[in-house]
Amino acid sequence: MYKFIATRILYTVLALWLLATVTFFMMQAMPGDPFLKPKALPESVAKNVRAKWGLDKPVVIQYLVYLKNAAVGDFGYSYYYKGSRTVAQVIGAGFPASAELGLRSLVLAIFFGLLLGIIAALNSGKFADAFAMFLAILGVSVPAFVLAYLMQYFIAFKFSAALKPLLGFRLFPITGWKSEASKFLPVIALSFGSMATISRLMRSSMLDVITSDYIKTAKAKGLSRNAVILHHMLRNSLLPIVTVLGPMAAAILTGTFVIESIFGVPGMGRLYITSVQNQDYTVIMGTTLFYGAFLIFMNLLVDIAYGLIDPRIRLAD
Amino acid sequence: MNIRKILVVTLVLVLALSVFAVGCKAAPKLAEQQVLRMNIGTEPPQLNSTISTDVVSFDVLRHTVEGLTILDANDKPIPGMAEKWTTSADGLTWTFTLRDATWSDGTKVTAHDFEFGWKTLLNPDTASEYAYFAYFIKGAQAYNAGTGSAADVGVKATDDKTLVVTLSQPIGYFLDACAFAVMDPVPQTFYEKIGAANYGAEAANLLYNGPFTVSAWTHEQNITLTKNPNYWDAKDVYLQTVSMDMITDTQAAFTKFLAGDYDLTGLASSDYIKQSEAAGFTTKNFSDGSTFYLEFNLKDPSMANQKIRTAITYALDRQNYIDKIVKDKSQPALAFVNPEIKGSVAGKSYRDEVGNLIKDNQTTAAQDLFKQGLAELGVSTISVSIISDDSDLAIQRASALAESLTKNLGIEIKVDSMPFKSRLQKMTDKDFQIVYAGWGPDYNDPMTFLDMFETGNGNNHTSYSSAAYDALLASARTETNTAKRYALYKQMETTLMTDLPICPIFYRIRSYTTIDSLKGIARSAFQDINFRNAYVEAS
Repeated sequence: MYKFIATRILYTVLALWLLATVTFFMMQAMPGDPFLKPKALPESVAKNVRAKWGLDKPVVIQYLVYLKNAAVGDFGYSYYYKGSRTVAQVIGAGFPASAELGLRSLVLAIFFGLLLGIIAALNSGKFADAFAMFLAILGVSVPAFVLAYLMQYFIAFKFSAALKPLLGFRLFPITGWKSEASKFLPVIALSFGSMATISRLMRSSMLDVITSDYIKTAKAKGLSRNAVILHHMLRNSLLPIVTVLGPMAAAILTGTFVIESIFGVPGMGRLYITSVQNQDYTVIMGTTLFYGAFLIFMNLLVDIAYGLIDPRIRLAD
Repeated sequence: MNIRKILVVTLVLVLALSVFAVGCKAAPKLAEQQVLRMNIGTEPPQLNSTISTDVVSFDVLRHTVEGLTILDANDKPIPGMAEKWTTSADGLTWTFTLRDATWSDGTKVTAHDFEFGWKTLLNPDTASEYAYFAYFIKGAQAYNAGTGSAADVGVKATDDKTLVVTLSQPIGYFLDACAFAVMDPVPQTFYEKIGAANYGAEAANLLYNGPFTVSAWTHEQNITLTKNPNYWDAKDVYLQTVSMDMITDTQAAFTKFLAGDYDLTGLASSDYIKQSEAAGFTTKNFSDGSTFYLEFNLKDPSMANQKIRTAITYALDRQNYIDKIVKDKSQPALAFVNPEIKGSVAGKSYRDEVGNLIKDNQTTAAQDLFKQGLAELGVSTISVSIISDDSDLAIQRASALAESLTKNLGIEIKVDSMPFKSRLQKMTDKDFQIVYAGWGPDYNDPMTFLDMFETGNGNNHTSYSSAAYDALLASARTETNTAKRYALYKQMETTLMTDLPICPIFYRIRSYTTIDSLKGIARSAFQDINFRNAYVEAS
């Protein structure tokens, strides 16, 4: 077990270092720099700005300085905020809202995804199957932003306005992240795609399991239908779901640009886009490493979950 | 959570104050609630006037920290913190007398705050991107470039009430410049207590001397301004609370306006204008002072040919282009300097005085010129590319332009769209044939447009170089007589519009709308928004 943990930590550090290196040099290779603006800075001004931010040094030196500081947890200041906020503060300010939005969506997506998948598999070829899969295809093919705008306009704006005379207040605010009502629509909009993926995966995985010999055995020994579904089918169908849950959770918990900006959620999703647009180098590095570390951690959880679901998989091996 | 509390307190205050408000000079009919709710789209990176560079920060600073002068609704500088001023005969020395005013912590606003603020702006360690804006002060450029000292900068508080400024050259827009946020005062004791990095980073990290104070700042969500009762002109400030959201999504913000969550909204494209008018709102327009144009790279063999450039410039039907493609109230640009720039005499714009300098929709003449140009180049046709931003709007605008030139001149033009910064880099590297670009004024003088075509200017991406133009520019810089200086400007722009390193297309007009009861909002070329004297009218 200790050997397992030590190896994983070593791999994690190695992966993050590689990620940092590749990102750093790709970012430097982008045309422009953080202070390239529509109006050119006079040379005297540009010199002061570059000196203040260390951009006057050779790229390799900048890289080494970055690694040295990052190794002790100093990820620098955001250029965009002109040195008033560290990258850790910028990410720390956005992560809680993103994580809450993501967690709520994930729970919703897992619950309804599994439910739809199971119903579809058990009623394979029947109406319930067709209906569940229609929803799934819709979820995969309709982009999140279309769904978000539609819900915002028809539910938060039109429907809430129509209900106002009855309720005395607007049921759903158009944007915001404070009341429970304000969280309802963004969570649904974000969960729809993942729910669709999970339900399709669950359906095919269940269908594989249903035809296995041990299910026949279970039925033959007289177990009730529910016992067969819960103890034999469900558990054995879960492995592929758990596999996709790792990356899915990492993506959904660390912020999504579209849903957050449409619903005005003060999360960190926008950072991935704006930091690249603004060439806010330190934030590009920070968000990439944060996401990378999170993904690695989620995959570690997946590995541990494998062992719990299927005792034949042993971590140390 | 704070906002609701503020709104309640505000309501009570408004009710109490409205008793007094009745009977004020030509008092507007005020509604009980003097609240303005709007979206500013994004978080101001920092409200530190010495390093701010963005519109949103300036929008907040315009209402919370006041400089020597302020701009009225027509962009005319009027007394702000300075009660009055005198100027020497040569226009180089300005003496400002400050009025009695206090910061939000109760300390006095003094001339020393201006001296400190301006020297902080110029301090090389501040690394302010806008430091060059104050280069017209004597010794400023040398100090900022590290070759001079702070003591030699021509700004001096001779006592608490008197500020003496010495300029390196007489400039016609000095009082206008004093209203720009980067020239705001900075109280030294407070600045040093907070520390340079955190000054203006939170509501409590800044002192206010303007019509409003920042009473709450929830990062990435909302900034709330509250009327400053100690403001010197508080009697003309009606709004009690201004709530500014930071919703990045334009469509979401517009839906909020339709739902009654906002009192004002921008109309970013013709689609929004249509929707807003369908909902019964009146579209309002203002010029932001920017001119859009094509830049030709004169290092490119085909673009170096003046007849080709002239043909392109004269072939366009600008009004038709605006009607069909831009689809707003933007105006055809038949010269470069934007009509919002003031002229040599009060009440007239420079454009009024000089008039148009090019013609458009001259298809036949343009075709002739184009043929002559091709003959000079010794080719039968040319193919060029226009680089543009990669937003849908930018691509559409560039493509339509390319299409009309192909139709009228038979020139092959393809549009090469790319991210904003990539376009800037290509312009800086002069790695393009034609670029679709725009320019907005920094200050209210034709020079803000004309000096970019100086040989070697960092913004002169066209590589245009004219000894005659440079000579006129040098004379204009030192000419103290306004009429003579404007005559030089006219000669410069005429030269520019003959040589045509650029092809002007349109002067941008932007649209927005408000609820009917909101009055007194000023939007102009030098003030993205000014609600100092705005109010909500009683129905």
